[in-house]
Amino acid sequence: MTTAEYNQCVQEWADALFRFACKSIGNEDDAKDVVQQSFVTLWEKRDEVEILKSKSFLFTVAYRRCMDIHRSRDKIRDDTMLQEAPVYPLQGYDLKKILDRALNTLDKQSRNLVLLKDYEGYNYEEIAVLTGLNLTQVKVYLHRARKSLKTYLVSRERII
Amino acid sequence: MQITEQNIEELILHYIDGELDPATAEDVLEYAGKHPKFAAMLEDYQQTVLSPDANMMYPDKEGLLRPEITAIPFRRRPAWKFSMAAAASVLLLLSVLAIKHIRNREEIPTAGKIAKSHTGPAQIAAPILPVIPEPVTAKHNAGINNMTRSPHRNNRPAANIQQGSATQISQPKPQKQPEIVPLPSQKVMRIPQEIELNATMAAVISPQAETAVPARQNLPEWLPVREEKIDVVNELVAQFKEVKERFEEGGRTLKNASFALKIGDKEIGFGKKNHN
Repeated sequence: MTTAEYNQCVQEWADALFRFACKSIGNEDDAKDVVQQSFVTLWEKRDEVEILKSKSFLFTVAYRRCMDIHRSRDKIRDDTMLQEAPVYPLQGYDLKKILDRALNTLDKQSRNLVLLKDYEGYNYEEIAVLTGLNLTQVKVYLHRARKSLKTYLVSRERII
Repeated sequence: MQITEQNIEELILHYIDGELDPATAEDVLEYAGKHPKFAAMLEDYQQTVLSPDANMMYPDKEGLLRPEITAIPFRRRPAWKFSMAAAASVLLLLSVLAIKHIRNREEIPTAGKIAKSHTGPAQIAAPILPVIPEPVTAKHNAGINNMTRSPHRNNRPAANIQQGSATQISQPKPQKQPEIVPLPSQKVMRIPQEIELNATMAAVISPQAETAVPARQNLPEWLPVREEKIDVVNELVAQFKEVKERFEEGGRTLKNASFALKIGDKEIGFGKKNHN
């Protein structure tokens, strides 16, 4: 990968990486660090990474870095926490905000998979390669996350 | 695929994730259309699909970029490369021709070469005039011994060394011999024929040897040789001068040339004219 191709990757994928990291770890400063570290890694490995695989390389690095941050924070959320999540009254019906809150109730693994699926459009196999999980695990995590989100949204609609 | 109440939810999840083939997706939609309960489920799951926030952008994208360095040497007069290459080629060709010419000259027997093979290289380098050395006496040897006993043993005078070599005296440890008697065998007398030959050689290799053709003809085994003109050499010298002048002219032009370095968006110029 040449310097020009690297700069092209910055222009194309920096925003998507930042959105993914920001939604995954919920902190802009940490998300900036994740993006920066991802591109530093890409620059160091630019002789080995082809331009066509640069996006998956960047998201792999960012995903692992986000998981490290989650582990360091030791904020593990599971479905039981979803049941205990506080219910805040909303001003009006804003599905996007409700969905963002619902996303924050997911465990870190499920949240990352949903983000990779919905934000970047990766299929099950690509997500399995990117995260190091097998195909069955990806399906289980994703379907469980969808059910949790649906449950959260349905309960909100009832309150509203 | 048979769609039942047991597998419809899983199929709906696959449909939401876009993982179903078109035919199966059509079956799922048809099944949900027939069952309002699963149609509501499909709608609920469709609401769980996230959409990226386009307003969320990385703030310091410029800080991630790396500078692209592009060097553009010799922006002006790019044809100079060809001139330099042509001059180098001419110089190389002339060098090869000169070496070939010199080798051809060496293959032709000359008077000096014949004399060299006859008398040996030592006499060519330092022609010995017909000098008959004086007989070595005890007094003379004593003088040599005194010189070798002096504190400056390593700096013996050259004249002394020449004298010793001329008389061919070999005395590795002279201090062990208190008295040195004259040695008759050390008298070296040159035969008249050799003396005559040396005189002839001195005349041949002297600076006036070019005009001393009759002297060369007196050499034994003298053969008529081809007298070469030095016009070819003069021509080569003239060609070298021409090449040298072309190089000097090129150097002057090169001093006037300029080039620029492009680092990212910035361009730094060198030479008489800046490109900033």
